[in-house]
Amino acid sequence: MITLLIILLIPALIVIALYNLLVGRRNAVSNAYSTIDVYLKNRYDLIPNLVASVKTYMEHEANTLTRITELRSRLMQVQLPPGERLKAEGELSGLLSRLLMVSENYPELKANENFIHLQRSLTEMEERISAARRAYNAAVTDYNNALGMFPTNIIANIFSFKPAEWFEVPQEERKAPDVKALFK
Amino acid sequence: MQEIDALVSSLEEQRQKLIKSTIRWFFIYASLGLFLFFLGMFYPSYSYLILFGIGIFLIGTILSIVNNHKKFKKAFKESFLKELFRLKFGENFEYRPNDYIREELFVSSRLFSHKPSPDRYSGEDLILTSVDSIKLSFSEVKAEYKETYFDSNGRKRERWVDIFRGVFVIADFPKMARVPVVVLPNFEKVVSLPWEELKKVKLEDPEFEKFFDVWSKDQVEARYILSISLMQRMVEFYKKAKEKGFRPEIYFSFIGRRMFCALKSRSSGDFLKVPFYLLTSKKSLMSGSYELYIQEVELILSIVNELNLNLDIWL
Repeated sequence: MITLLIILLIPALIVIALYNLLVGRRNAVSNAYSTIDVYLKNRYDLIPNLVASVKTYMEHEANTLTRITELRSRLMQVQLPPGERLKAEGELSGLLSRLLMVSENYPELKANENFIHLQRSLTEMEERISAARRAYNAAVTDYNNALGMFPTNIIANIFSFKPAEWFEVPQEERKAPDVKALFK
Repeated sequence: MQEIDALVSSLEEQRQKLIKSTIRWFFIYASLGLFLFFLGMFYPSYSYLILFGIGIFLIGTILSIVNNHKKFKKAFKESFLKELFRLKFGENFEYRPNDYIREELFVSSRLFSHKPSPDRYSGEDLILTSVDSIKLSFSEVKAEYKETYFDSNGRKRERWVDIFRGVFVIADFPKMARVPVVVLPNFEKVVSLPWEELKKVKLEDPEFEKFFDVWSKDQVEARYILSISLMQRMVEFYKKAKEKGFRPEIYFSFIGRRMFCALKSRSSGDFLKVPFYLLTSKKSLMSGSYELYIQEVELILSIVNELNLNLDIWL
């Protein structure tokens, strides 16, 4: 009887341990996503001030400013699935860094203290978002590896664990910016 | 350049005087020793004078050499190197041969928290300067702890064990580390660090991971401080320091707006060492022996550019 119990107990303990490992890694992904979320929300707060500071100087960049405002409103209002959201955030990052780069063309704007302060805050926020994105991707890699590897893949299939999506940098962001074109 | 030549000539003059003084004392002690030696030989009842003569010759000669080397070292560091560095690196370069990075700063770097705290701490050759407005201070430090052990006969003994011996650098860092981020050479095999529940951070750069282990309680903060480009630069600096003779043991930590870096002593000796052969060498100092001291300092100063600490990321 005891032998039978042990025979049943050992596999049960293994299943519990593997299940807990997967849950732990899935939670690590959720935590990492929450951290990105905090930084992204901080960035939303900076955008209206930034747009207000630059729009009087940068009339030629009206389209970029409109697109930034639209994206911000959309991201704040609609609860997008993580993959789609991260893609839209990537586009927003690209537009903001383009805006900061083009600001070099406007000496009056560069001398504006409010703008300098916003520029510093935004750059720091972008650095932190980038760090949070790397931490998120590391957590996703750990989790997805566990889903694909034996024996955790068996438990993952039984309990329907789904792979998490990586926060990929959009193709446009990966390319080095064409500085000459920006300053034309 | 002419000023440096004048400086070298002046030191060379002092060196020649010290060499002559050493030779003079050598002959004085040799004559005295020989006199006593032969006295002991000819008068057997005074045979103890033989040993006395040999003793005076050996001890006197060694003492005069050590004393003159001490005088040379003092002149070399306090007059020559101080002025040489000022001419080479500018007015804002301050060299204090007898000063060193304070123990509180060494401990606050948390680089050696995985080892016992120092029971004995000393150092020399403090340098305070700035490169592209980045403040930098460094010196040689020697931190040790006392260890009790039992010898083969079961007797309780004590010995001093090095915690760290080498160059300790403190530099301004352009980012603010809200929680400490510690980068240790990965052969340290640290299982855990005893403060603030530090966890190992696994980073994306395989080459960086080959040389270093990163510890922090915040995974995001560690990645914020260690950007991908900084990791690559740290690897390049590690390789460069290794090429220049430093042992492959380089430690970094980032706390607040400061970066701490510890480079273990070169296999060839301590930082800005004045070796004995420099006093006795037949070669004149004009032959460029001093260039090595400039190169040693330049390697440490290059941390600023190698790690891009002078890049204002905010503008």
